[in-house]
Amino acid sequence: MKFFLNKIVFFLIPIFVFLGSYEILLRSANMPNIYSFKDKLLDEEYEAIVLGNSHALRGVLAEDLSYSAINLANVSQSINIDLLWLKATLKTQKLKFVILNFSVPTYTTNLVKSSEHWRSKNYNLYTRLHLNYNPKYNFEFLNNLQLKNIKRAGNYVLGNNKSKDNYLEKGSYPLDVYSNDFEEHALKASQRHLPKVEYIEQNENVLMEILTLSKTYNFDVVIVTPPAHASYRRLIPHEIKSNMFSLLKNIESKNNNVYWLNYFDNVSFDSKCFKDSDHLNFKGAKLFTNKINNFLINSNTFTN
Amino acid sequence: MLFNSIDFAVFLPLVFFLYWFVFQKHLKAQNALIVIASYTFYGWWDWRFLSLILFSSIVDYTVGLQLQKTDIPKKRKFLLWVSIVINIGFLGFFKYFDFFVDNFVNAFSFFGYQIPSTSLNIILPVGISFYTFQTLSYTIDVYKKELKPTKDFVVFSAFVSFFPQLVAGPIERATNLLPQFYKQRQFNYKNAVLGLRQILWGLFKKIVIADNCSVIANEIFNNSTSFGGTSLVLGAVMFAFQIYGDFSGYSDIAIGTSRLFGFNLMKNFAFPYFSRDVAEFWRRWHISLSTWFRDYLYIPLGGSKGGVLMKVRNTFIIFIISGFWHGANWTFIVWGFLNALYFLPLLLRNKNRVHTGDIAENSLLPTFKELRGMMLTFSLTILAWIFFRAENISHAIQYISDLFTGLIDYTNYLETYNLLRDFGPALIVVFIIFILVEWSGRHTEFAINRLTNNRFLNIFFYYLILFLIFIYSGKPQEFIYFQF
Repeated sequence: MKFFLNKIVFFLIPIFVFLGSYEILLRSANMPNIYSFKDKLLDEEYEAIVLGNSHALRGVLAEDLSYSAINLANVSQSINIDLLWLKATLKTQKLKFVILNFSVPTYTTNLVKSSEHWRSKNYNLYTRLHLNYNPKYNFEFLNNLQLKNIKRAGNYVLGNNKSKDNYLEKGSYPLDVYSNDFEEHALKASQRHLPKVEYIEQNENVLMEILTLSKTYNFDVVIVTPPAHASYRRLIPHEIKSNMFSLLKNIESKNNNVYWLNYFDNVSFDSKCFKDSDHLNFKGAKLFTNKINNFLINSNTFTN
Repeated sequence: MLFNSIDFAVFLPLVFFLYWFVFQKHLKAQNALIVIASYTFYGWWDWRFLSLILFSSIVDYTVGLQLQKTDIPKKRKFLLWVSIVINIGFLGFFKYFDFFVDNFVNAFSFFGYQIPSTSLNIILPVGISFYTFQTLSYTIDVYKKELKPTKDFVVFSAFVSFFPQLVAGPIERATNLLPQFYKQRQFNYKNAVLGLRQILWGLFKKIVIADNCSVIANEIFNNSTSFGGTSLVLGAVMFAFQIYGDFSGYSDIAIGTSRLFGFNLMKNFAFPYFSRDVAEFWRRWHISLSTWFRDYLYIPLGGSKGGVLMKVRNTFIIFIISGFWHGANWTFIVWGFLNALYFLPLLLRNKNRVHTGDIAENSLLPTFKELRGMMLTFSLTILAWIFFRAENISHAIQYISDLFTGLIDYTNYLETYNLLRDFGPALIVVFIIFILVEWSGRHTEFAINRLTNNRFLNIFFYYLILFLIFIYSGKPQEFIYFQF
């Protein structure tokens, strides 16, 4: 048995050395990225943070707010990760308020259980957050096709790195593009956002935990529901929408430090404001951020 | 838990360590560990269905003991039927209920009667067809007094749920596997090395061959109407290699894993695509199922001993039931029917046991006659695989009729060339090497059973296979036979 194990160990050593080097190479090739960038932003002090999924990443420009703020939203980021960001922020900072994006996928999805689950590794590897211990989400080389990984590592070694993403200095990432086909995108997006009851319950509980934190740490919560194109709105089941709205309305009425800005059905955002059926483009983001900012300025709560 | 997953890569060494280092001197503890590990392995997929395995184990364990207590034929027959009805009842409910209801409703609507469909959209428990047949074989063997029933429930549970072969076989006979649980297992270096080698080859077949062939096969089968004849031929060939790599790969991993724990499972594949006729193919493909049907269905029905009509009847019964075992779809029944048609002429002319040895037994290359037989058998098999893979009968018929369209059209060949280009030249080379390695190892239990005498060359070969597995691994894909 000892002989067998010795042989196995000697056989495996080169494999582990190779995998270790390969992992380091892949991580290096993946730097800098929007996750590490946002994590670094937390080292400075701010009055507010923006949390949420791609609707907030693309649609809320922290740079345009009258308060010092950063955008910690990311693609497919579910509310449980928003909570982790918030907890990490509260360890070092005293926030005045949190802008929390709450759109349909915030209500219905969970990143780890979605088709975008692979993004979980970005939090584990490039931020101070820790989502889980699943090896798949803690190693770069366990994600993606290896032929692609090898190409990426090769490009890094040869110095042919991909150009940096064009995210703004406070973490927002608007895109200056217009859509030609809302209907097809709306169909796919709405299917992706289709709810599972267990996630709705979980997500409601996480929202309540955020509200509890707001009381403990004495900050206000501005919940924003961003505009969506008519093609997308049509495909969201009425029951989901009305349940979500009544939840947020109820929360707003029961908590004096919570405000809900609902722009989901707002008609002042025309097709030219959208990148696709459920994301604002740069023009739409400017307009939406302006509306949020006006609210913050005009509200007595935030003027001090 | 999938064999080709990180979970299993952690699970296997952990169980191995506990088995040989913690419980080495305690046979009962080792058996209990196997049961716990097996239930964990299965529960990883869906713990709710563990109750089915447990219930099935309790039923057959009890029936076995009761059979030993009585010699009254009527009572023994009754006990046997209790086991058959419960086991086949579970299988029938979970696997075939919706199929029968749908067909019943369709049949009535054909005659103008509309009755509401009550399909239950039942989840098919993974591996139910495999462990049901395994437990049934135990009860039948005890009934036939070919086996003494076990009094140790842990041993019996270990036999039913033994994790390497629980979800996709080989379907073990109690006469082979059960006694191995009674014997003190000794670690055997050579056997363990052989086991690891077989696991490696199984992973290669699954990840490099099957999963990559599946990309093209799925693309072509899912959009078959938009492809020309040559591409459809390519799709069918790719599926043939997908299902072989997938299923025989699983069997290799299962047998190799068992070796690591000191168990010997039966051989399940013996290079079936090198068969020279269909009868030989069926002696080499999914051997554990073919022999199960032979021993528990074909022979009790009279086998090939009766007259022509009896031979014909028995052949159709065994092949059609074998097809239906694979899934609740008419496509599997037609697949079985086609194979019966292929097999029958050989049986009736007494030529079904012409090729009992290996192809090119004493030479490097096959003779022209052998090659011709091999090509014909492979072509017939591929034709039947189309039914196996198709969504429904009309899809299969459409696919086959389209096979012969546009064969003289240049653009067709260009389309097929583009598909192969997407497959990648490097992968085509790997594919050819795979066939050559399989050919060179055709006289052994699995292709890389015997390597060279040069240790360094062998180690280089292992690293090369691991590297190819690593390079061509993508998202872990389920094994096809899990759905059966």
